[in-house]
Amino acid sequence: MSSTVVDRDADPDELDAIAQRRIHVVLSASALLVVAVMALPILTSFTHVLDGVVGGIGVAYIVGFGEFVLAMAGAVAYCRWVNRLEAGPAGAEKAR
Amino acid sequence: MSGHGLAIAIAVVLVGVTVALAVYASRQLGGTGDHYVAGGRLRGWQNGIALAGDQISAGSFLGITGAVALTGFSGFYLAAGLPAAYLLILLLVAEPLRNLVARRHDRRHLHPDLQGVGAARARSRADADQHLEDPGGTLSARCCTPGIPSATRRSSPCTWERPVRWRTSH
Repeated sequence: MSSTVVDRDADPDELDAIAQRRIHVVLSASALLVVAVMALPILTSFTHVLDGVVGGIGVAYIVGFGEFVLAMAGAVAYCRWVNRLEAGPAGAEKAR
Repeated sequence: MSGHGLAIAIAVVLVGVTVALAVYASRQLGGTGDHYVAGGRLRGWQNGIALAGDQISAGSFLGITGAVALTGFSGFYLAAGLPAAYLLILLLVAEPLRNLVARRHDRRHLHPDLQGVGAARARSRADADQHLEDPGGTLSARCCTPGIPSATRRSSPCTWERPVRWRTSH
């Protein structure tokens, strides 16, 4: 469990702003993720965009494995961002 | 040893090891808190391995492989959804779950607003207990802490502070 220690002397408005920003980022990232993931079956089922073959591997498979990389990169980026945010006012300033 | 005999032997060994681990773990448990949330002592990477162990199970591993073998790319959709599920868990579920556990074990991990609510409720419960155990209020001075005063403690010699939601240090 991460050791988040809240700065108790922080300005309430500032903490509210940080919380709202966090919610905004989380919901936005979730929406983008759902769109990115759902794009794969939609593009493969209803369009011919991913019908090609590169090096003997279907483009759809390559894009599908790319989603694995996207998810990992998103998780790493979010963890770094939220760790800076929870590090205190200095970290929150960097996270802006 | 025939193929069937070897398979049965492997299955028996696996079941035996699993049962032995379960018996060993059950003797280490201290209560329901240990059983359900490991006493709140798990770190992030340990929870991650547990989640991975749940999702990348034999059902997923063999099932998705079989689905791709039988249905082609349609089976691959099952695999493509897994990383997205992990990230959604991280974004939407992990923090509220951490705060839930933190609320039980360590209020420092909570949002300050929740800290105030949890502390006020805890003090209310403590006030009620105090009222039952010490109707005369003789112990009130010893138990005096900043917070919401109960009807019992208003008559005590303690100097109460108004509850402060955000700033708890002065």
